[in-house]
Amino acid sequence: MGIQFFGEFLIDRWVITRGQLIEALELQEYRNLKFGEVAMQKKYLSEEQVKRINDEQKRQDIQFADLAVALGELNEAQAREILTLQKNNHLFLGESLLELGHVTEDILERELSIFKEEQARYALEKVEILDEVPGSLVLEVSVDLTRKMFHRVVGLLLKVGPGQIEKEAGTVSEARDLHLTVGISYIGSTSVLYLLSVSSELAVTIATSMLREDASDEPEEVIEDAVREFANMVCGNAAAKLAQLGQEVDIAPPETYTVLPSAPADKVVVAFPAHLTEGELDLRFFVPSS
Amino acid sequence: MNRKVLVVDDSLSVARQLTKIVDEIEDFDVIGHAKNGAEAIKLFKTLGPDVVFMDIVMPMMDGLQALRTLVRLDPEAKVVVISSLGGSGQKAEEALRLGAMNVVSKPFEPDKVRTILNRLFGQEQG
Repeated sequence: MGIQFFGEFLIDRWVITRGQLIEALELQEYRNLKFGEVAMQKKYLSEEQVKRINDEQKRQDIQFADLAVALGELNEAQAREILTLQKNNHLFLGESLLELGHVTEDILERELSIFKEEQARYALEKVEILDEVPGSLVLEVSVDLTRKMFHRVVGLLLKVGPGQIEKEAGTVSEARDLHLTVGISYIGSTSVLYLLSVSSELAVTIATSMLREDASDEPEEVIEDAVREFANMVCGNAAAKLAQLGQEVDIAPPETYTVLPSAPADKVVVAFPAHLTEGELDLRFFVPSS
Repeated sequence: MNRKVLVVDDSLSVARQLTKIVDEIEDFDVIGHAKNGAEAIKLFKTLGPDVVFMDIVMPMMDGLQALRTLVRLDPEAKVVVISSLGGSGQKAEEALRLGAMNVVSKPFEPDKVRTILNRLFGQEQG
């Protein structure tokens, strides 16, 4: 299993029921106010202003607090104060369950420690990036999960060197036109494109692990689908890890490229030299240039 | 008679992987595969599965929309949501609210799939 959320873990272990989880989630939703709601409570923003910022957010990929400051609706001190209030008053799922009497303190403590132990295998391991780039946490988590999923799902050891901005194709990674490239866009507080290119041999190895049977004679569409799904799993788990680290991102469905795409004008390529025990791959990202 | 399982996922490799896992579990057989929510509803009506494994992000009609419809058609429908965004939990939470019985995150662990299935029907007896 990949990265779990605590509620799913508790249901799995028969500690709580689905109904109790839903109650606890509802209590959380009621108590954990959104940024705009806190701003209204503090009378820093009116309902109309919040609505305007929400509408603007649909056009711009910026978090509410940053957007409110950029539009001059709040000053930075007010935004900081609201974020601190939100953080200090946040009701966690465990606390919510405790308050509703669905778990006792002893059980919660015990389960949290087992949960942390189980999820420790997904703890973020060091990924080095030589240049300062926006969205670097997304890159670090994605590279780390690529490494972990290659090990767990495919059974191959992936070594990744430090990432850096690739000014010219081929200077950091090999930038070969490998057999297949799968791209997944992260959407939300950042816009980063994850690109995994694999050799045809490696694509078959991935498909064999995904299908749980020899994929050497499978048609190309099945192999492609398996590699797409593998990348989807990496980025899905990365998004889950990022949420645990406090950064909300979503992912778009995977896209397949037969030729390596070039970065649009407003993006730079960050490449990571990568080496597998078996098969060839390239790992790179398109990130905003500023 | 074995319990009938419907797998709903736009990815053929995920569907095949899950089918292999389910077919190895005693008393359960995969009887169909739908590639989107609309197809899932059609197969749900014609095949009458005992349990549905449903992906969330799919073209045409996503898993949450299909789940709403399935629960409306049969409030007792047993739907397990397949999540590739396990830890962020938001969509999984939404699915649980809409009536999903459980969530299984990728990569699949055969033991977890087995536990979920056995528990779904074990609970029925208890």
